[in-house]
Order: sequence, then structure tokens, then C-alpha cells
Amino acid sequence: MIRKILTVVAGLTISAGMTWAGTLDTNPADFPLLIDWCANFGCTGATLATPQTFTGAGGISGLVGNNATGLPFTNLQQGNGWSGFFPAAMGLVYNGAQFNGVGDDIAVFFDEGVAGVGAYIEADFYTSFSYTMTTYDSRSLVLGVYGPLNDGAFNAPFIGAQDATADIWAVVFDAVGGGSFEPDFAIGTVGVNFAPAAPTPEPASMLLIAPALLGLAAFGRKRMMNSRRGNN
Amino acid sequence: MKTSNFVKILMVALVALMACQAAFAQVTPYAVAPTAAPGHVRPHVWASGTTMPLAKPSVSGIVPLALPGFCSVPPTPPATGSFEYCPNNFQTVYGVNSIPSGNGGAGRKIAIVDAFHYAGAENDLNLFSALLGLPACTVASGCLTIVGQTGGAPPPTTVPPTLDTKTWELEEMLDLEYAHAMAPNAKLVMVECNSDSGNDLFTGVQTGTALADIVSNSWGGGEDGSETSFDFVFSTNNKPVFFSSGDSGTPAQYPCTSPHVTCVGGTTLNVNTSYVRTTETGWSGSGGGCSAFEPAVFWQNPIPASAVVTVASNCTNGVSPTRAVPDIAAAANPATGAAVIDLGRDSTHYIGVGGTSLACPLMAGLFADIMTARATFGLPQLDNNINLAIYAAAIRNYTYFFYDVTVGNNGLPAGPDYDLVTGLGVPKGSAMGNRFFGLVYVLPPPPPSGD
Repeated sequence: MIRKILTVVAGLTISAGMTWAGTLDTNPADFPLLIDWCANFGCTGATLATPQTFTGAGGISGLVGNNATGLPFTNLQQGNGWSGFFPAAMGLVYNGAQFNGVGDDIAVFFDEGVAGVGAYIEADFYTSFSYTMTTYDSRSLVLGVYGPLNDGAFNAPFIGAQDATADIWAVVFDAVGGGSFEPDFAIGTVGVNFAPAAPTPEPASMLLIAPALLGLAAFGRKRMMNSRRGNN
Repeated sequence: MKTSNFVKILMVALVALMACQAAFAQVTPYAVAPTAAPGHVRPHVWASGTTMPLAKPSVSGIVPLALPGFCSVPPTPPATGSFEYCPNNFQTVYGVNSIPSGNGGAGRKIAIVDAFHYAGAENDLNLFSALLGLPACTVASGCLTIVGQTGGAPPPTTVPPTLDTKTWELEEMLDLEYAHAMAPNAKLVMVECNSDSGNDLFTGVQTGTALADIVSNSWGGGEDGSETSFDFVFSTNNKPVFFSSGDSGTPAQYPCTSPHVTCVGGTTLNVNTSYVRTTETGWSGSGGGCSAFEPAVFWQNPIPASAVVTVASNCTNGVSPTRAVPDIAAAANPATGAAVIDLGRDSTHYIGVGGTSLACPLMAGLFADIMTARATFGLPQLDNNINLAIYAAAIRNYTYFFYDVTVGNNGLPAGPDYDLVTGLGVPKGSAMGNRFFGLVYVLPPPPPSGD
């Protein structure tokens, strides 16, 4: 009886420890398929109607623009219209807050589901700011909200999220801080993946895995002992 | 004021009112259309002339009927004769199933306004649904409501039936069946008016806007100098109100020219063997043109000016700028029309039917789907100002929101961008219903002057 209970507990613990759907992931390397805004829009500083179609590595495609207002956005480039702290020469989608007079969230809508998505993000005037990323499923319903995260001045952090399956169909980036047209911000290269990247277990997950392994070890030891007894 | 003067004024007012009533006394449905003696109501019957025995598709609602020419793969090449589409064809071509959270219009009510009572409406609708793979929509389930023009009991059946009532009967079934086809989970409110007089139908429209979220009207008549005094009818309850543009080409007709309605013109729709649209051209019968009496509307005259709506912006009655119609368009050519069940006319066959009477419920159903999505997302709901959102979309990103119909002639030529045959063209449902990039009620701002 005890052995059965141990087995069930071990199984449950292991499966719990491996659950990592909808996790925040701030490592750009986990999102290898890149959407380069310069390759799509030329990085000439042009103001573009919302939405615009884009393509990226791995056959990814979709739409990008300001969220739910129809206002145009601007395609800038780090060092060319944007003097902040994105990686050098990175293409940007700027929400055009200074031109439009209002700040918008930036939405990216995919033609197919992806498992993970993330992007560099920075507020205008390069001040400290907080930022949030929201993912949506195929029905455009919210899958997960990541943030708000806080960042100090003079930095363009990366925010991303991984899901267990490729069911992220859209993502919206939001920022608070920067300029007088709140929110006044840009996103850099967007990275995606179609299969979940190798997860980096969070501390809580590690806590769950540890007893799972202990349970397995105990179970294995018990079986070995029983086996030896049987052989004798 | 002396009593005699008061009586005179009253008389003048009464005469004016009667003149207005006379102007709108003969309103015609746009479904099908033989000719009739002048002075009588002239139903615009546009049956394709083809019928097909009632049968169920080989795979319910998905695979077309076996008989070529009806809900089937069109003959290729070249396309000859008639081809009548079924619900699944329109759903695919017009993007019903690609509206995230559109959910077939669930939670929305579509009102259909027509004249006279047809006792077989519920039965025919549900035979249509059963044969063509749509969910049942019955009175008992609460899906279908049939009311009279003021919201009470429908009028009695006309006995014996006349050509007029039989034409409206076909109109009613076309409207019900294809609104249901495009929004199969929406509820339907059938408003049956006492007659086809303008007064009765206008009363019915107001009842429709009171009882439903969106209203489809496939009827109209010639313009009249007093028409602007009736425009209030269509904005009474602040709901989207769609009208068919007519089946006679130019000139424009009323109420389509009212600034408070969305005017739906007609196209000829062709698809390939995968039911993907190959071409959609302007139908020669599509009603359209510059209104003779309705003043220009601001959403057709944006600031700054937009090349997309230049043709509409240039509309004039020779004296002053006027409203241009139609606003949008969808399938209407009877030769590429729809398979309709109206057992009161033909108890054993589908009837091929076209006209802008088809285009109107198709679009009302599509926008009901969009309204469901918007309700799900918590976005501001579409209302009687829907034309502002439609034109704003066209002006800011035309090719994303519309299939541009560039070929065709209704007496005036179709062409790129807005034209007086198909308006802005055929709306793309998935674009207009998009949570992030869909319809908004603001005309695009001027381009930026710099950082």
C-alpha cells in the first residue's frame, strides 16, 4: 500500500515539477526565429498605417500595429531616429505617440500559433519605466499577462513568454513611463519559436522536482530490496 | 390665431403629410422581379431561373450538393449558366469562420424587415437549416421571433396570395436564410409589416432596431425631395441598419441614400473548386450613384482628403455635394446567387435567387459576427454610426479591410477604390473583426509633420 502511495506521489510530483506552461522568459536566445523590422519596413523612419503585414524567419508572418486605435506607427532604428539602448542598428516599431498625440500599446498578430514570443522594449526619453506583455490565443482571448516589470533608465530589456503548446496567436506590449504622451515607447526585434524552448526551471519548480526525485529513489530502492529478497 | 387660420394651417400640414406618404407608398423588395403596370407596386424579382430538387449535401453543410450548378463546384472553364451558392460557400468566401471569437454571431439579434405575413417562414427556415448544415432556429427555442410592424402579432396571411405577397414571401425567406447562414448562432427577429407602404415598413424598421442589434432591409424605392425628413427613422435606436441598394443600376434609391443606413450594393462572385474567390466584379444591376437630395456626409469627405474615397467625395446633384451609394457590396447577381427554400412557391426545389436582397442579409450577418467578437473583447459596440468606422478603416488601410472590386458597370463604371457600383468593395470579415486592428470610430489623423 505504501509503495502504491509512493508511486502516485512520485508521479504527481514529477508532473507538477515539469509544468511550465505560460512562463516568463527574459532570455532572447530562447526565441530564435526573428522578425526584423528593418527587413520588413526599411527603417527609413516612415509612418505606416496600422496594421502592416510582416514576415520573419521560419516562415512566420502576421500583422503589426498600434492596438485597437487604428493609429499609425513609425518604423525607426536604434541609432537612426532612436538614441536609446536597443542593440545597435536594431529595427524598431515605435507607437508614434509623439506624432499621434496619444500613446498606444503595440500589437503583433500571427498568422499561426507560436509557442513562445518576446521582444526588446524601451520607453522614450530612455527613462526608467515598467512594461507588460499579454499573450492571446486563437480566439484573441487572453492567455497570459507578464508584468509589469520595472527597469531602470538607459536600458532596453527583453521580455518574453513560453507556452506549453503553440497556441499564442497574438501579443500586446505595453509600457508605462517615457515622454509626455503616455505610453511613449518602442519594441525591437521580436523573436518567436514554434516549439517550447528548453525550460529553465524556476525555483518553485525545483522545489517540486526535488521530492519527486527523492520519491523515485525511495521507490527504486524499495523495489531493489524486494527483488533481492525474492532472489534469496 | 383665428380658428379659420388654424384650420388652414392644419389642412396644409395634412396635405404635406399625405404627399410624403404618397412618395413612399410603393416600396419594392429587391429579390426577384417581373414587371408590373405603372402605379402598382413593382416587386424586383431576380430569380435565376434555376431550381434543384431538395436534397441534403453528401456531407452535411460542407460538401456541395451533387447536382452541378447548385451549391456545387462551378463549371470551369468557362463558367456558364447559373451557379447558386449555399451557406458554407458564403461563410468561406466572406471570412465568417476566420473572425476570432465571432462565434457565428452568438448573443446577437438580427432583425429582418419585410412586408406581409408568410406562415411557412419558420418551417422553411428549419428545413433549410437541416438540409444545409446550419443549427435549427425555431420559435420554441427562442432563436426565432416573428412579430408585426409594431412588435405585436404579425399581420394575417393575405388570402388569396398575390404576386406581390408571393414576391415578399421569397424575399423573407432569402433574408432569413442568408442572415442565418452568415451568423448561424445569432437570433433572428422577423418583422412582418402590414403592407409594402413606406409608412408600414418604416414603422417596422423602428421596431427592428428596438428589438435587435442589427437590422437588414432588402427593399427601397426612388428618391424624393422629402426623403430627408424620414432619415430619423433609421437612427432612432442607434443600431446598425443595412439596406440593399436596388437591382436597377443607377439612379440611387432611398432609403439606401439615407446617411443613417449602410447601403449594400451587388457583385458577381466567382470561386474556384476550393471555394476560394477567383474574381468578384460589380453587378450590372447594383443600385448606385449620387443622391439627388441627401447632403454629403463627412465620412465620405474626410479631412485631409483621401484618394480612396475620391469618387464619393466628388458626388453632387449638380447644385451641391451629395451622399454617394452604395457603401459596401456582396454577391447579388442572380446567376451567382443563393439556393433558397420557399416551400410556398416551390415545395420540392431549391430556388436560385439573387439581387441586392441577397447581399444585404449576407453583410448584416457578417457584421453580427463582428459584433459578437467586439462584445467578447469589450470593445465599443457597432451602432448607427457604423459608416464612420467602415470609411475610417478604408481610408487608413484599404487593402487590409476590403476586397476592391474594380471591374463592372451599372451605368457607371466600377474602378479602383470607391466606386458607385460596389462602394468600397467587399468587407473582409477577419480584418474588420480583428481585436487589435479592427474597426474604430475615428477617421485617420493627418500624417505627422515631423518629430
